[in-house]
Amino acid sequence: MIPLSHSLIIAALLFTLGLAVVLLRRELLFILMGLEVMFNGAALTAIAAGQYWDNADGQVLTIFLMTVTAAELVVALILVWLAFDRFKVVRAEALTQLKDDMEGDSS
Amino acid sequence: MRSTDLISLAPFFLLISGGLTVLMLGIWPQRVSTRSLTAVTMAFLLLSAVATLFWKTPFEMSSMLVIDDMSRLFTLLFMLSAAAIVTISYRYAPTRNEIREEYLSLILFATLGMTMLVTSRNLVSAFVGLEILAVPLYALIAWKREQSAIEGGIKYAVLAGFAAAFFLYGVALAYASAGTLDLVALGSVTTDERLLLSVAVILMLVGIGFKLALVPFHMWAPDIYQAAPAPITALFASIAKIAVLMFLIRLLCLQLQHIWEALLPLLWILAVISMIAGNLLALHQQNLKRLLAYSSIAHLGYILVALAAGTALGRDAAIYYALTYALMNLGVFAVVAAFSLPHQDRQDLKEYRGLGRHYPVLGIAMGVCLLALAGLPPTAGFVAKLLAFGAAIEAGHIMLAIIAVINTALAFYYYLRILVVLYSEEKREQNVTQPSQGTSAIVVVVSLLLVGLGTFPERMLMIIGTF
Repeated sequence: MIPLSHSLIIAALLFTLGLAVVLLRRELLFILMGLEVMFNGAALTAIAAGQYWDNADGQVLTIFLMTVTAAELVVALILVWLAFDRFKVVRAEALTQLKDDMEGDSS
Repeated sequence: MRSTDLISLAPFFLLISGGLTVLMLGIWPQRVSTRSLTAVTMAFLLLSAVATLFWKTPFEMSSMLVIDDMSRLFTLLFMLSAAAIVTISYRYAPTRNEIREEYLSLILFATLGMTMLVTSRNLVSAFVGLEILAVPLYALIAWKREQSAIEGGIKYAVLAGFAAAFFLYGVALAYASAGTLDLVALGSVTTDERLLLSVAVILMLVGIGFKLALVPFHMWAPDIYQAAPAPITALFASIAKIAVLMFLIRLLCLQLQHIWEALLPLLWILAVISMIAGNLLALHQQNLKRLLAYSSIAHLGYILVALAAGTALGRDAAIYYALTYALMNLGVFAVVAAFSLPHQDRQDLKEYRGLGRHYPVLGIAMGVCLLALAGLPPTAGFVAKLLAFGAAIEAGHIMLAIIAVINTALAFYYYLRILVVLYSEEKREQNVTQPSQGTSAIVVVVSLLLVGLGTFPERMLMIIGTF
């Protein structure tokens, strides 16, 4: 049987990989993919731990995780699609409408 | 299923069926007026508020939910504030004719998420509650069809997903360390498993820190506060944050006390940088909603000062502060919503010039809320700060208390600046919408509560002391 530490290390690598994608890529769709990879890292940890402790909680957590994050990404994808459809925005750095206002120009 | 189970779950059932009912009214043969939709939503919220009064406490629901006095107090707060937000939205000009089935049902579902979060004693139910709370908020932030609103929605969606990933990874590691997701069982793990559990709790703290907008996870807060319509800003600035905070308090202070003690230095640092960065960024801000966002970052810092004390006194102070914080922000953003222009909120501080003179009721209420935020007696904000800093001194964190007091003094400057603008000579009156009576009533009730809680805090503290 594969020891728990091996699976935990793989899961940690997967999570870090997703984190790197979120932080380094600038396309909105890639950022969402990176989030998905991070979620999978968490799911792998839960599955491996469920195997190790020999109870069902890990699998229950994973099923909830898949369902809930799918719902979450649906809404996020709709928002990204809206931004593309209406404003032709696909990259994170194009989102610059909201920013600090220190001078207070009279608009 | 026993009858006690049914009574305990009644508010949840009411909120779910309320959300679905409001949604189904959309396919009613005749067009249902916004007024009746709002009335149905209010009825469900108030019914579930009444249903919490029948809870028999303390009661544990098959190791998923725990029904105790703390969850009852905060569930009541969430239901009533959500009802207040529905009332504010009803006459809020920029989203007029858009407050339909979807908007109202999303508010009901967000309230369900908060209730679930504050009653959860299992990490799975906490995670589900957190997401039920977060996902409706993405949609609500992007409600107006403007680029800035959609931009705000995307930013919140990405960062909330990021936070959720950290939280989930923490949950999975906590499970790996102890083989259980039950908070009570996690609280009794032996010493050799505590290292992994501490790492897990730190990861969860990162996720929670994003939701609470603690520095260094605060980047989203000002953007979202600016982008969202004012009633929705009121929703997530007050009750949504408090729901997450109450879960943190239940996690750290009630169940995992040994981890709480181990994490005190981390909380200390988070408190200091949140206070300082929040106040400094707010200092010269010209946009009122962004200013309030930075000030709320600082307020979460003050709450962490109380938690960093690591004593029962600190926990009670944090709970009292949380309650006050929700009321103060609800009041302030209700006034911002009432002052809105026909198509958008007033953003720039200059646009508020002289409004306090023109609308005495709203002006005085705004004054009370701002003085509470600044922490002046006789408002509840003063008592909350006194308790929080007192707890820190009691625990020997003199340095932390001094930094907190200096920050409070710094914060006076920008709160008073808002008041000065609000009461300065008015130049001209540009196309104002008449503030609705419902909003005025809510604002008055909130201000009275703030003064009442500040003048007679003993009763509330007695209730909090029994948690």
